[in-house]
Amino acid sequence: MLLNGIHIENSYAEAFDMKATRLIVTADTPAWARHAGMAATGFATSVIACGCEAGIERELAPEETPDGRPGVALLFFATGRSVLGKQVETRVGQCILTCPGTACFAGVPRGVKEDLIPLGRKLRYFGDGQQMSKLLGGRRYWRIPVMDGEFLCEESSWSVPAVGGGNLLILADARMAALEAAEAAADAMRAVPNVVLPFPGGVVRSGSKIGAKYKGMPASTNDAYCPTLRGLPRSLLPAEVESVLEIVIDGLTAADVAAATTAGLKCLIERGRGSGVWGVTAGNYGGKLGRHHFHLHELLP
Amino acid sequence: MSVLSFRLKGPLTGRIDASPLLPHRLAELSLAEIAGLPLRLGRGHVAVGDVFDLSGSPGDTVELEGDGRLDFVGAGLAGGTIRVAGPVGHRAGTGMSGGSLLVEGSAGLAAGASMRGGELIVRGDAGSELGGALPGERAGMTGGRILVHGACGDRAGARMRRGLIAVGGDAGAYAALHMTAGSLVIGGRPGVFTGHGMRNGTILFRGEIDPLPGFADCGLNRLPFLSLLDNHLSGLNEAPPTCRGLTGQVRRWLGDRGFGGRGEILACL
Repeated sequence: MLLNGIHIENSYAEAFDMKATRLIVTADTPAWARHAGMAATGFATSVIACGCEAGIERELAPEETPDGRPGVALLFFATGRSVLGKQVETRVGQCILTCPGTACFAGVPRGVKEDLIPLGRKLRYFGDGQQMSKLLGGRRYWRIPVMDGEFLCEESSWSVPAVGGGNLLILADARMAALEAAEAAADAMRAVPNVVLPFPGGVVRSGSKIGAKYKGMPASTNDAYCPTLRGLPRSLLPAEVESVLEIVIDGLTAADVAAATTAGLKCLIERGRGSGVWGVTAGNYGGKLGRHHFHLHELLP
Repeated sequence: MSVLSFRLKGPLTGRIDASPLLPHRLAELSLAEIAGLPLRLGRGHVAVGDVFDLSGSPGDTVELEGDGRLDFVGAGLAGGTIRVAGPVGHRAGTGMSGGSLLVEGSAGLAAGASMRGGELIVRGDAGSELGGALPGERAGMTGGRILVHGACGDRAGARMRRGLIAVGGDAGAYAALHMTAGSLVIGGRPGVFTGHGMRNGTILFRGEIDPLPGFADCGLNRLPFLSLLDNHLSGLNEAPPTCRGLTGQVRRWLGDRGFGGRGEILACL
């Protein structure tokens, strides 16, 4: 299919069931909330080796946060509840507790005990007996004395079902063209609520396939989309494509991932063939691994 | 919503135990059955119908004409609403575990004592032992909230373990006596010996104080938790206006160290 000069391949992104949680982190200024958010969601690009995928969902105005200060909403995704809990606990403990002036709250509705993600429930022990708890409106908060005052932290958050691994592959004539297109598409996709793009700047250049010729490598380079291997029989790239970039989408529901995919497609199609983008496709594993399939032709704007 | 109203037939000849008049206990009964229920009056008993004119239909709400000689109003309330037009006697809402008790007048001694949940609102003043411990009980209030628009007597929040008490006016002596945890917000001025023997928990009010010697002065602080508490109070319909806006800089006193306590008195500037 050719839209505004851009090839939209008849392919689909294959995404997986995950567990996610949202945290609200506030601070005295938007900049310090951002510092905490950046650190807590750093090194969280792929569950393959980071343990979780995470990102800043959006910035929050003071009137949107529980304590009336500026903040950020963070989304964390992992393969299961217990690994998510462990990741969130260490990240909040090392990156939010440590950041000046911050407070941390659950950003999802209260769930059942089985979905509990401990926050202050474990971090309170840092208070060495001087911590205090407050129960307000059915939610428990911990106040932990720290050197700049008090770290206020909700006792726990909850995990919710989520979808991770939605994606778009941008095929372009040149590397700069691919980069500019990916930046524009990522900006458009970040405006969609309930999603994060976990890779640096939302963009990944090292798309992977499952397995490798080497033992012990669960994934290796997606050689079918590597332009330097265009001459090989298994290459899927046309001769004019010199660079490919991928945008990975994690969302709280399949509808959120679909909406972000549509927003990305809309942006790329509007920019047109003149932007140096040859086409758009999506990555999948034959459809056997992930339950969620996002067909590009069904998600056109 | 069905409302069952009790209007006093005349002046009471003695103190009445009004604890049977709970919405969830009356919901399944007819008006005639309710009128036949016994109520303790002094050392004897009278029928509900001898004291009250009944109207409306039993359901989740009871409306009661108030009188300072009606004791135990809403005691043991587990759900539904009781609205009292006028004052109530002693021990209103003791041992409540849910529901809402609204007293449009004042309340006597031990209102909300040993309360476990629900909401007690007193638009007038409250007597001593507000949210305190009933005789023989180790803990005072263990949950729920008490909102008093007026002043309260001595020992408010005594042995309190959880929950929130907000008093719009002044508090008497020994507020939060031996408090274990929970929050006591005073919109007016605290009385003498505030926080004596407290182990944990929070007493919050406006203006400086010279607390008991067992309290250590931790100086001026800004606590993000106070905005959270203020937001919580803002969200409540009947929060006393004087209890609002207690945020910003506070002087924090930690104690009562004479009892090994690490509770806090927060004096908001």
